[in-house]
Amino acid sequence: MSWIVLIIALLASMVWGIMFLRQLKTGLTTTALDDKFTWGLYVQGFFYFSALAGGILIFIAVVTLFELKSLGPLVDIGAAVSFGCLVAAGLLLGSDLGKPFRGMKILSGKNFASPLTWDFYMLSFCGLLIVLFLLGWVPKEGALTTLWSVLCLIAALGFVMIHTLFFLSRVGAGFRSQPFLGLDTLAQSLWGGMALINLIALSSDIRPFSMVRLLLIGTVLTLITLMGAHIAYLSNKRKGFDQKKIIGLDALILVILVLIQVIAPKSTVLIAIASVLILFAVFLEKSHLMREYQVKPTLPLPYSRYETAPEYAPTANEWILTLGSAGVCVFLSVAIIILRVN
Amino acid sequence: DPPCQKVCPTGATFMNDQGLVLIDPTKCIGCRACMVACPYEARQFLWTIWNYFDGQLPTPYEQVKRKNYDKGTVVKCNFCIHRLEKGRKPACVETCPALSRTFGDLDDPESEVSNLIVLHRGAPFREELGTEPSVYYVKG
Repeated sequence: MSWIVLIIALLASMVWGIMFLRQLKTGLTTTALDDKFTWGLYVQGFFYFSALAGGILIFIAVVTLFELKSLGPLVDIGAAVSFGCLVAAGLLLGSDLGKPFRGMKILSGKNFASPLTWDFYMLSFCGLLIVLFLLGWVPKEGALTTLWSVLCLIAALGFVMIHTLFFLSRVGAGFRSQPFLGLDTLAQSLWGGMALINLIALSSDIRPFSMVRLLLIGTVLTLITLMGAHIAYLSNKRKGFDQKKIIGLDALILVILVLIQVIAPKSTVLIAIASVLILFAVFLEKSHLMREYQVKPTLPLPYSRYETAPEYAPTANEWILTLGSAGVCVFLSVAIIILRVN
Repeated sequence: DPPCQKVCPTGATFMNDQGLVLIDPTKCIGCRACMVACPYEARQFLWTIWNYFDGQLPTPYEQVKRKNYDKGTVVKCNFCIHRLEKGRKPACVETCPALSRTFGDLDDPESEVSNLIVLHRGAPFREELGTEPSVYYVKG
């Protein structure tokens, strides 16, 4: 089964390669992006995969730090998946750049006021930490293990929250930074990471803890951090239907998880469905985040939430390249797992 | 205090001695973070560069005019810095038939621009953002 998945993922990865080369030749005109809507599906995918990688890495770090040996197999698989997600995130970011082969100029730029510089360093650092683990250079216990876990936590928390610590649309709104806005990014990273870990556990037949409760806690925490924005959008009748779909999906996930916990807490199918819905919800929320970045607010937060973003619908090329990056993620993850098992 | 300069990861966006925010096209990686950061929508991305004659190589004129433009990089008004270096004014200032544009040294209180700002209570666009732009608007 894993070989079939590997082959399909390899084919998808090849599709990514072909589309990327095509885009290099034609430029970003193959996308639906323009000067009004500058960041789209690629950056959304970058945020999505890096959020998942961060969430899994935080999970791995906590498990290692507290020596939860029963979750050991999940740590091994999770590290492979986290690495795959990081690579996919990097590929999508590279796909979005107008000059992707100049990316290393970030190193010479040394502009540490830029969140993208921190993205680069933190994601690279996370990748390095995961590679060290995958190579077996991190001992199972001891001071080095603790150090590795703490560094993973710092790096993962760092890149998950970096944009809201430094950024951008808040500057446009007249505020230098609003660190507490990073809580919803962090919550979604943990939420998505837990859902992915849950799917990994279900597929590996590893069930050391109550997954439903974990997902329920993650859902509640995420909804708390998103509550302000959700209320603003629900109260704005002029707003489009998109954000209300996300709110509806979040509420549905909460209801489903409560029902599973009450009626069928050991149902693998229902838990898997809930996990997939969570991954979808996080993806949609990143889409909304992209739209928010395009708004040039004339009012400060929270009133700027009532302002509309320009329209954008990704082209087929964008979807194919994004799905190809997901294929790379799956290919790398499965390949690493197979190599480690053998 | 331009936010575009802060977010540029490569330092391609910089402010020169005269206070002009410029872009070094050789350093720009086309991430467009500056476009997201700019509250004035003053930047454009070169998604592609069309030749006048479709399907053919650039004309000699295009080769000269576009040597500083690279597909996949961000551009913005540079106040015609190539003209400023020769002691001339920006093209828009020279060509405006209504003389609605004035260019000068904001740091010189005796300059024409400084006098106009004081006389007509000029203000920059979106002053509340604290970006301190160098473009002021006056009511004539």
